[in-house]
Amino acid sequence: MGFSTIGATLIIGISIIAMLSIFSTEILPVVFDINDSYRDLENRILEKSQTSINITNVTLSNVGGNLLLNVTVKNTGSVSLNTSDFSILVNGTKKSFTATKSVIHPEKEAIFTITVSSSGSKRIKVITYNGVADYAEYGG
Amino acid sequence: MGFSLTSTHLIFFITAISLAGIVSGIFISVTMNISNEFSKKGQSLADEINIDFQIINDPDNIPETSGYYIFYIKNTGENKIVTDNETFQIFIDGNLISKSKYYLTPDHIYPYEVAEIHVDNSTISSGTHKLKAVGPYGISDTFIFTI
Repeated sequence: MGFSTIGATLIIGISIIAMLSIFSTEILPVVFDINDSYRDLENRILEKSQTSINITNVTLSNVGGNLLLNVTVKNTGSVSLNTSDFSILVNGTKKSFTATKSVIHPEKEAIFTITVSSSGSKRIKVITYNGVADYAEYGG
Repeated sequence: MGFSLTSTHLIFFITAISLAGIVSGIFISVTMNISNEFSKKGQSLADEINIDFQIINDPDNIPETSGYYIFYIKNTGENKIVTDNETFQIFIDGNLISKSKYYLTPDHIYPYEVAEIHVDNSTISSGTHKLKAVGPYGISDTFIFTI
């Protein structure tokens, strides 16, 4: 009876250790992943609330026969913005662009240059990486 | 009598060890199942939290090309989003649009990239409408626009 108890206890003890091992190797990484995801979400919400832009000037110039729309954007928020992550719509259509800076720090400006096919009135929407946007109209 | 006592002890021992083995096996099996399900559910939750997108069109200027209105969705989350008409469902004014009436391009977008939803213009009349795009894990964005 003594051996039976010791043997059974030993088997159950080993199985409890195995269960704890399975739990820690399978579940803990997922808990950490979820924790990281919530932290990222919190950062995204915080950064969005701290992001703000203002289109301060729009000009149209003819350079060598190419019509170039120059859109000056000021970072009026408190988060630095990568210009490569911006999106620009001209009259509703997404356009490719070049920018004078790769990063716009708070209270600084960058000029975005877009090639357009015609003069005339333009409605411009500039969107940051996190969806914060500003509109401007160019009268032509 | 002596042999009988030994046999009884042996039977008790074998029974105890067998029962302990069965109980341990069940415990480990249940733990593995719970761990696997929790792991899958947890990974799914982490992915869901990391996915976000936004419709970025100018609501007053919806571009139209080759019989399709174009809506832009920007990946504002942390994960790659698969963009096809299996992962995205489109509702116009609350009505689900048939998969044959829209397509997306490209087939995936990384964070901060933009995809296009091309919606057959026969599904949208002139006037003001509400578009709802429902993406992976039921993440959605709603956009009011005027044609």
